[in-house]
Amino acid sequence: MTASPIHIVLCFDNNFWAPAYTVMRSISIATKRRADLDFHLCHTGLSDEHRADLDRIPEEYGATLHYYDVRDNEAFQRIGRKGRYHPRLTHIIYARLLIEHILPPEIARVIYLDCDMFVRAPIEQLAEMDLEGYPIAAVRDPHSFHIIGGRDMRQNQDLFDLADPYFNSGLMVIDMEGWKKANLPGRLEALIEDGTMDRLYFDQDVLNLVFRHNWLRLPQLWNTLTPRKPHEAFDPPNLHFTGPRKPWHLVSGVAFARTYRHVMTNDLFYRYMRFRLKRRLKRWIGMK
Amino acid sequence: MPSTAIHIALTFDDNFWAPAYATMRSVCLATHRRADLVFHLCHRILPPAHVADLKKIETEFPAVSVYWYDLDTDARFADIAARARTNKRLSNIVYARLMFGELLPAEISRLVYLDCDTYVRAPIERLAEMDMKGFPVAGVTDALTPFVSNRRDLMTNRDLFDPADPYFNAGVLLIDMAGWRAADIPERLDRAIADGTLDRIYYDQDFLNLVFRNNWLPLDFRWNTMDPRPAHQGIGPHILHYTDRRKPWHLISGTAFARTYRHVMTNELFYRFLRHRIRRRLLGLVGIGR
Repeated sequence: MTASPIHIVLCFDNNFWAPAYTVMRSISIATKRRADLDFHLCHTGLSDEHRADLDRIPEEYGATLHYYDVRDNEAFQRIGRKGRYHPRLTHIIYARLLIEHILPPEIARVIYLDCDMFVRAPIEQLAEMDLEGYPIAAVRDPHSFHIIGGRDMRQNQDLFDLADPYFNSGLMVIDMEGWKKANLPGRLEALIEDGTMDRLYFDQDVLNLVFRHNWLRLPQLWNTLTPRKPHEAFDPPNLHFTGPRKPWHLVSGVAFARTYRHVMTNDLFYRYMRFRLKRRLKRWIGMK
Repeated sequence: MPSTAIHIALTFDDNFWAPAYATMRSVCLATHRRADLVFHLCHRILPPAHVADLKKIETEFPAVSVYWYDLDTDARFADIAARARTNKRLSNIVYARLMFGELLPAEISRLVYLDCDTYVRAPIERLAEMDMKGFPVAGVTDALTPFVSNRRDLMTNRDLFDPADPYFNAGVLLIDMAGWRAADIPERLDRAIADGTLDRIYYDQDFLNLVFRNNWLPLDFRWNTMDPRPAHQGIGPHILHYTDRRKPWHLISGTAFARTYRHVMTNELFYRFLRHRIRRRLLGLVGIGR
């Protein structure tokens, strides 16, 4: 056992607290270095009840949580609110482009994870891997052709070459020094101002423009996209539930759906379901 | 041809011109080495409209070279096609790949063969320039081994194929042309036709497995991911091979990357190919054409 902290950053809003809890708990279950875990939670306001759920992570595993309400963050206010808005993804997705303004400056290495993930392997394998001098490590996005190329693979040809490797930004191992050198906040601001942002696939395209040919490729299964039952046999270290089916749905057909429910804990799983139902009902009757 | 050329051969008949285009375009999109790409198209008679579609590759990627080989004017192909067993779905175009040694320019030392129901997603040079460790061919173990060769109850052709022997899928092959020529395929084929072997095996794939038995380099399954479904998308396949009845050019296919494939084929050609197949089927129903 070493005492070096493992920094992990998650970005989510109040509606996503339960999956955020689950990805933290999955990490805590799969490593023995539980006391070394430092979770940095960037959010846009959390209810007391949801915060109490998240606080069960330090209680159960001795990990440390740090909360950052990005609404109070000057950089996020300035840039994040200008970016393109997606009703499902919301503005919180821009938080990860601004982590250098949010996290304590002394952090040298951080792992960013999307909240629709389920980690099944010791996270220190990423936290302590050799980045070979690259600012980030990530997994190639199997859908890159579609994301970049668009219709008939002819869109945005001035910005991207389909033959260039393109990563999924749901999982990134980040060397903060290299990351800061790339000046993401400045690049983001410029892209918003010159209108390029309107043609991009949100922050993932931005990250790929900024770190083009400057990222280390991780094994594919460290970010197994849209995992289904057939993937279970590959013993993937990390699942990424992209696509419309989510493991927190009552019937989802995704890989390890049952295990996921137990990682989320059954109480929270069903409470999260009632929360979503209530929210949807409110929307239907026009209360929200 | 540049000395760094990447030679890629496709074999197809007119009914497959659109998938051939999609395979070629996928190769071109996924590599920066476009100037090194040399396609060798071994084809049956193509109407001018379909030739024009295929020539769009050179318009979109001017650095790419394309060479055409008209099999219908080739006496050697006519001879084999007349003598060998044919299949309604595959047609005798499948034997074209057995003739690479004779058909293609002698200076080619390394060749990538791709079936036209493949979709390439990785830089092709990673396959083309792989260390073949002295083997004449490299391929991926067929997903249906040993059913392909031993068929019903795994009892068929046991004199020819031991189910315990590795067996490759011939849809994606990396070929060392010197080793290929040394195997003397025309002579072996003549013998297989003469002694009736060819009549009881699974076309050219079985034949190639007989010729190169225990003399081929197995590749990672990602280089020929057979019958790919959406679940395969997440494990990073390099080449998808739509071996099943489901094809990505069907309107609804349930195959991996079906939507992306449509955009690789381009939407205009995708729907034109659909109309082409419907028309062909209708004509077949009323007994005109085939």
